[in-house]
Amino acid sequence: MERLKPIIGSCLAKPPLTKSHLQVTALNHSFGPTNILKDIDFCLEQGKVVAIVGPSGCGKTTLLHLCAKLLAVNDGIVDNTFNSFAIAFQEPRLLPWQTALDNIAFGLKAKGINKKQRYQQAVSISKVFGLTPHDLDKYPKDLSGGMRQRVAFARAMVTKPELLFLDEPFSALDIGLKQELQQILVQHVTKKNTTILFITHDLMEAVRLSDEILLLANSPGSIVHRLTLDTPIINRDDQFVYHETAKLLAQPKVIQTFELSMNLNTAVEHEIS
Amino acid sequence: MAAILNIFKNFPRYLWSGWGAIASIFLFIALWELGYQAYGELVLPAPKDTFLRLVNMLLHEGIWKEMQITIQRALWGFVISVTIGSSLGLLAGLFVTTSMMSRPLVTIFMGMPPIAWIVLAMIWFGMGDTAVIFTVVVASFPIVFIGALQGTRTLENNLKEMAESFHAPLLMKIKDIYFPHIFSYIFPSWIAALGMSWKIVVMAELLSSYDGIGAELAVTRSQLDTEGALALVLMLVISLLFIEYFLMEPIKREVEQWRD
Ligand SMILES: Nc1ncnc2c1ncn2[C@@H]1O[C@H](COP(=O)(O)OP(=O)(O)OP(=O)(O)O)[C@@H](O)[C@H]1O
Ligand SMILES: [Mg+2]
Repeated sequence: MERLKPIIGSCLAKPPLTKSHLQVTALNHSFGPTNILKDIDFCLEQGKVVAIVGPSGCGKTTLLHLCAKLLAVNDGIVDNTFNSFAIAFQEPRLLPWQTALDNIAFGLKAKGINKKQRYQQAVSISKVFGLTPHDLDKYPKDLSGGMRQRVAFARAMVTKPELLFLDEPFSALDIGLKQELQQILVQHVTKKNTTILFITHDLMEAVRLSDEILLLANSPGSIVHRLTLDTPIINRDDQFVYHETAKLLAQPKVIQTFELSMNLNTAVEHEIS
Repeated sequence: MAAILNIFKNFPRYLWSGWGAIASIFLFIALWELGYQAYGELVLPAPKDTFLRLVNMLLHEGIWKEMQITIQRALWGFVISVTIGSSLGLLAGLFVTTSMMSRPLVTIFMGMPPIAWIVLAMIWFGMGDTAVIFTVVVASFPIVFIGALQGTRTLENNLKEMAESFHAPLLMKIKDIYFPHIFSYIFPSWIAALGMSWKIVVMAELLSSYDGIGAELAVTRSQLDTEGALALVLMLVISLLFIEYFLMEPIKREVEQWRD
């Protein structure tokens, strides 16, 4: 019986050869004796965006690192046919002894691009990310948390990867910047056919930006709910986002996973009494 | 190259910031003068006389030659301890076992008073260069060793992972990640070792050599030449201040400006 169970998250039975994909099949992961991820299946096709949401500590970052081959896959299959990928880590992981400019250009340097060209590219992307030339000369210690996050984000974007892994890329940004960068991301997906796997705590953000949302539950982390959004990302207005988010929030699985409303109400009552 | 240029560019501003230090030095000289007036010149010669004596020593008494000998010994000791300390420290830091095993040894080296080393060195090598340089090495090498050890032990996996995610080649990882991190630990230990070498060399010379500033100091003691002794001490202090503030500090500022 177990074997006959269809794999829900698989790509088309045979993915067309022209499209790259990231296919995760029956993935499990443990740190020592603790089982962190269990039976993860999903597929990310070229030009698509998948969002991973879930409570803190449920294994989202671990899943992302497994997909990026930063952690060894011991149980299950991660099949990545993309030619290039880049990661924006949850903590920015900037080199403290290099200026923001050099940090942004890090990936380009690793690719062997010469100094002049990589600085040119880094400077031009830094404008998109709202960093001033003055900021670019600063060392990470003199940047704000949000600036550091943008530098790390820019460092990943500037290499123009086919696949982008983003671990809570907008978490330290104000609403305006957040919107702006989300817009840039949407453009990259629609115009340049970039593929994105991103983690967020913001359901609304997930609904706005992704083609599929995977809800990861706690201990051990497994996908308890999937939502596929068919409306093209570029066509989504606020109305759509509010509506879909509300629908998602009403799902029993979502309520259960985040221990929503029920607990919240009791907590509030507790507070009042 | 740019770094070296920067050091020179920032030098005037750095000098300007030194007024406070100069004021405190003058205060010190004033107290010294007070001491002279209270106790007389056998105990504490006047600052002015001491300075004049120092100038005289430099111009007529051939102290340059002794100074040169001492500097040479200190530098030899420094270079040897930096070379051995850095390379052994790096190697030891690479493995958990070696770093654990080396810790008590370093504690012994650090805890042993230099004066004990001098006695041993005199027995082993007799009077002269070798004994002095040996003592300098033994005293400053553990400082460098610990710096290098900690530098390698604290290498961050996070940054390494980041570099690997961008497929950075090994040479780039070494240049942009490992080296700056380790250097930020080793460099301060080099400075500390240089200061240590300078102090130890004089002490070692005083006991185990017939030439050098230390030996000169021994001569002034035997002749009860307080003024001469003070002039020599003054010379040592001035040269130490010079090394510290005109050589090391500007370099340190440049290479560590990314630090908090
Ligand atoms: N290197 C590690 N060794 C041991 N346990 C780890 C390691 N990394 C993560 N864990 C554990 O795995 C679990 C999942 O961690 P992970 O970082 O994937 O969570 P997350 O979903 O990204 O959380 P958050 O939203 O807070 O970032 C946590 O319980 C954590 O303690
Ligand atoms: Mg995380």
